[in-house]
Amino acid sequence: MNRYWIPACMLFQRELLRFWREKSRVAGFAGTPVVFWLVVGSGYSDFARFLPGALVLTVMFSAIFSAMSLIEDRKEGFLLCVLASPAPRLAIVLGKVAGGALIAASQTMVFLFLATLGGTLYPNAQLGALAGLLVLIAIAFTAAGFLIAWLIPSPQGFHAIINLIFVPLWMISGAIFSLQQSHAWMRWLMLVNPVTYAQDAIARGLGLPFADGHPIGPLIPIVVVSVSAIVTLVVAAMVINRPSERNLL
Amino acid sequence: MIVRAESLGYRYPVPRRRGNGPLVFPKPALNGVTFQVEEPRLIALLGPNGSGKSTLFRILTTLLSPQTGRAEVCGFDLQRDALAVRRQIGVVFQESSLDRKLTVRENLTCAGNLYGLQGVALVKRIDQAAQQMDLSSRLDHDVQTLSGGLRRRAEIARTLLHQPRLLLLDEPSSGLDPLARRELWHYLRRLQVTEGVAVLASTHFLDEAAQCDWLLIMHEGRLAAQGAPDPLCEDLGGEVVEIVSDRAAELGSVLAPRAGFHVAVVDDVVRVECPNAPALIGNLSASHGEWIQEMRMHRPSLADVYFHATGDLFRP
Repeated sequence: MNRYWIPACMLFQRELLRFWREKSRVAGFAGTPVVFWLVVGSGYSDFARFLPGALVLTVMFSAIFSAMSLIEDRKEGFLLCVLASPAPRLAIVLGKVAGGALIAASQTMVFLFLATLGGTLYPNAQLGALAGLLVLIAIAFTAAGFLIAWLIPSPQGFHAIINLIFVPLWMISGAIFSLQQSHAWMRWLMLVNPVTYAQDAIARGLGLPFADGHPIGPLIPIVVVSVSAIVTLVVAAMVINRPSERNLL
Repeated sequence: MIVRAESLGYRYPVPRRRGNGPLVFPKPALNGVTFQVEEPRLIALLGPNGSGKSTLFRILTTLLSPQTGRAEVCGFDLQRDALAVRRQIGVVFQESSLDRKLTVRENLTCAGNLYGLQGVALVKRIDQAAQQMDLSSRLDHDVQTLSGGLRRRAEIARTLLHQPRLLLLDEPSSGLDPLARRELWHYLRRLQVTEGVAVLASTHFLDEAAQCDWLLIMHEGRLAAQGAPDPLCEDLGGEVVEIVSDRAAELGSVLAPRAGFHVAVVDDVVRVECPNAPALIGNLSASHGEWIQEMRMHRPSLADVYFHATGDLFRP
């Protein structure tokens, strides 16, 4: 097991260390939730309606952009050293994704804490369960970001693909309009969109009420989020396991 | 046996189409490369840019899979047993791959972790590797404060932590000044002698290649020649005469039929490998003196070995 966890722990720590040494990232980490909370929280009367979507958006962007560190690692040559070492590919993915996911989940938890005033605004909220849920969602998004950063080594291309895929996924996740309000074809799209389940799970964790006829049962969101996290991790490990010219860009 | 490579071939998949014609694939980057490294020696992979050195390097470091042929490193198959191969090799890439935001020690610690080393054992290995590369006093310096030569040494120290049997270095002297280059090769030789590690370094500098124990000379994806530098030069025999002439082609055809001569014309220079250069120079001055602007002779060098093997001048 040592050969798995020693490299994975190193990559995890390195991710946190590099985050900490880059003060602009730390400022963004602490500032974004506060700004979000002040602007959105005071501007909306129906804040609770949008809170799950705002939390998903925060964790999504934070996770995906943490995964961008892979592009930097590639540019600096660090990735080549990792790939030429005997560290198992799964350990590489686990270490980097765990580091990125922890940063993203922590940032979102700060937002969650501020937005619920430590839970007092939402007496039915289960903050412990929400924290665990945010970690799972962060893992899924970080692993997806890792995969995209692996396949698209240019920062510009990475941004373009993120905007192309993830922003629409978030828009049709129920963050803006609910499942029941949408057309039948849109409802189908929403039901195959994994982000819908992340959003749904957070709404449940906050103890928000659902309208009658809500089509998603209480356990399904947790299952979908967990499966998404595992699948993205495994796919990422499988993809980087193939020797290719991509290693050398 | 440290390396056994058999008929390695690789072609980068970037097909191009000319007009409406069929897709044309570029020339293979590596074509039927076969060689063996039996004992720990200092080996230079010599060739100009584009000769296939880097592709061979990438295959030996398991970052690319050969499309044809096979290779073993320390008895492990490169494709089937890539993890075992990676445990046996230490790799220094052409571009610096140290993390500039970390200190030398932090960089070495990260590298040691990748090889499953940690704790007291790793600290000890880091101290030993730093000593071997005379870096002990720099361990806690930020990498970005180090000179190019010191960074290279730090990179080599990083590859020594897991005590590899084969060090692979891709153009390790690129970007270094002449003094740092000399130092680098001094360290490589020292490692080969004291640690008994085989060192395979690619280079396009003939003077670097000349101090190695064995040369692999690459040309257009093929292994054009291999051997120890001195015997390779001696095998050419005699001397090399270069004659600058504005009638080089004619002069070449005059000299070509002579027995024991190997004649080639490159631009306005006739290049002759011959057993007795002083006699040739004397005879030519008398018979074709008016065609000749300049004549010079020298003992065969690695540049001549390269020319003899490839038909091309060595242009790094």
